[in-house]
Amino acid sequence: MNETMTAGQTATAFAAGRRLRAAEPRFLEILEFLWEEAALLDSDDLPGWRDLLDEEIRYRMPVCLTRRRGSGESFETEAMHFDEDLASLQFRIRRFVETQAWAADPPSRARRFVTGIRIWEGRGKDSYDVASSVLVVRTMDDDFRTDLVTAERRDRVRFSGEGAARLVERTIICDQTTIGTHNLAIFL
Amino acid sequence: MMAEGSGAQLSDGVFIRDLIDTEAREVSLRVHHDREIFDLEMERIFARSWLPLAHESEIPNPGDFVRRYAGQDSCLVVRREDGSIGVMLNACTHRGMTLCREEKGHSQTFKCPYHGWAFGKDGRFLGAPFEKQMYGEVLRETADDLHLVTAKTGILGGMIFANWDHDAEDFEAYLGDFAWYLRAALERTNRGFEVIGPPQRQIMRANWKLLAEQLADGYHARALHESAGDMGTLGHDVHDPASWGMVGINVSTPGGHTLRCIDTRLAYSFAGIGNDASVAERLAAVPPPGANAEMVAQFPENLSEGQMRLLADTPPLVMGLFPGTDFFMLMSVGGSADGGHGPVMVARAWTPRAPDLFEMLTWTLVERDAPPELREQTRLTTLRNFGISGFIEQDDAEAWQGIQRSVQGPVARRMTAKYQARLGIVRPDDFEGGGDVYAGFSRDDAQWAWWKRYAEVMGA
Ligand code: FES
Ligand SMILES: [Fe+2]
Repeated sequence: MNETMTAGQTATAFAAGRRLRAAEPRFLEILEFLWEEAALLDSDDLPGWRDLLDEEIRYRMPVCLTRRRGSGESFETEAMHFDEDLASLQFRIRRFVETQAWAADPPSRARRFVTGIRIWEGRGKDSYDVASSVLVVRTMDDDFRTDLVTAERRDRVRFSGEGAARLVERTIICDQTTIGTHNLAIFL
Repeated sequence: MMAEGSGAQLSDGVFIRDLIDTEAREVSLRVHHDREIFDLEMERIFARSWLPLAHESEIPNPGDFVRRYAGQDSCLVVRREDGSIGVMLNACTHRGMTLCREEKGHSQTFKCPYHGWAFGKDGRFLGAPFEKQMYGEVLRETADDLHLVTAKTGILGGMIFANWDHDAEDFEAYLGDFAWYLRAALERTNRGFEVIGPPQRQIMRANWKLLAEQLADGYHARALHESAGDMGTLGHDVHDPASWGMVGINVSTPGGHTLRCIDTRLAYSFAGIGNDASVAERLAAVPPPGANAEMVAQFPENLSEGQMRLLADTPPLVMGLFPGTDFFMLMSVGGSADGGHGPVMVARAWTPRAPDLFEMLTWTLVERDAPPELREQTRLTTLRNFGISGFIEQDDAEAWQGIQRSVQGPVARRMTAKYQARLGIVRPDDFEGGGDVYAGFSRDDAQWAWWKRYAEVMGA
């Protein structure tokens, strides 16, 4: 966690709070939330996924670069693959679900393997910083070849008054500087 | 493979010219499949063409560099001490080791990791470790042959182009009549464009020509971008081709460059401006993509009357440079934060990797003088519409990959792509731009001109 978003980004220091032990109830709740989220996306239930997003969602995927060790600049703060809020995510979802969007019809099958989860107490009450690794395996049509995308995800998860977890912020730091799939008509 | 005087011939006896039927205006789909054709393209097109690598604003200070591919070759784009830009092969002249192993950075010299030979920002060989003990005077005598291989460079709208072939036509000759259009779009303001960060890079499982030849294809909007119509960002009147961007002015030049301009005069009625208004009034009422009224005020300092009229009435939408570049500027599409409108400002480059694979780079262009809100609006609308996650371009990728899947089959490869929709030269009164001008419905004329150029450089 040595690089944080700066310049024009809303994020402040990530993972600065107390680290949660894996046996703590909140850790397990968030773990379950991430599993649920991945399952919704894997089953192409985009409206279901939308319901897990906070009204203030910021969903970003910066352009990454191969840099020398210690440069501290392996991802960009302005150049992005995704930079979304709730309105733009809903726009994308509506396009996939309600219109003739050839990129997602038939939909590609993407499976998300989420692991390496670490959780810290975040800013504000019931807010958590959540880091995870994701492996997305994407299969299209009858092609046996699969596209692989791997990334670190830095999330902020907040629990509402009723105790439901919602995704407030996600930054996807992809390991590939040349993304190995033909489009991002999928969410990571 | 080559039979002198009769054009390029493939190993099964077929000539390249047999694949491009200029009478019937058809192209054999085989051109997207064969390794032999691909290898010929790399040699005849990409090793000798002007290719876009980076934007000046990516490397503002001496010593700043980015690493890119020019054709198949890895290269460094470096800001030199005197502020000029150099493009050098990223391969050490000692034994060929990759010289620089990061994609972006800042360095006064480039030192090879293998034996430590060092090169300057200008590519000059500086020295080798233990040079005396190892070589005596040998290297000093041959030092002039040890500089990094450099490319010729040219700059347009801040975009840096390079050409490995020092005997190739110079950059201005390469642009030809197309320069007039490009400068109108890219050099309209006093300070010009910059790019927002480094480009997106992605792979596409398709032949590079499927993108390159599509640039002048206005016809696909209605079907392939049907969802843009459903989302209310294109095709406001489903039955009116103009609202799908299919009406305007197409242009091609002998160099294979193609241009599509969309007629925006419709927009003036929305803005309450009559067509009898002056060019300046029209531009102020409906600034071209990415500009605001203050920038429009600078246009007369940089553009001719005819260029201003072009931007006012039929601003360039897709500007394709043969073989591997385009600029795309569009206003009035959805996807900005409020689901409303904003400018989409893109520069793209593509690098062939294999007959069925190319890499694509997408930059976002923004006027240097853009106020923060316009900059942010441009950044967001662009990445949501274009590039790897852009909802317009997502669908284009389906067509390129879909054709590539077809040509895996030997029967499909015997089919042809067809370009018989012909408009012919239609040059509006007082139109200042050069090249072949096709005003009206966007038919196949400009696309066919691309294939004619392709056939020519392939030695058909
Ligand atoms: S290969 Fe570069 S110094 Fe030997
Ligand atoms: Fe398109």
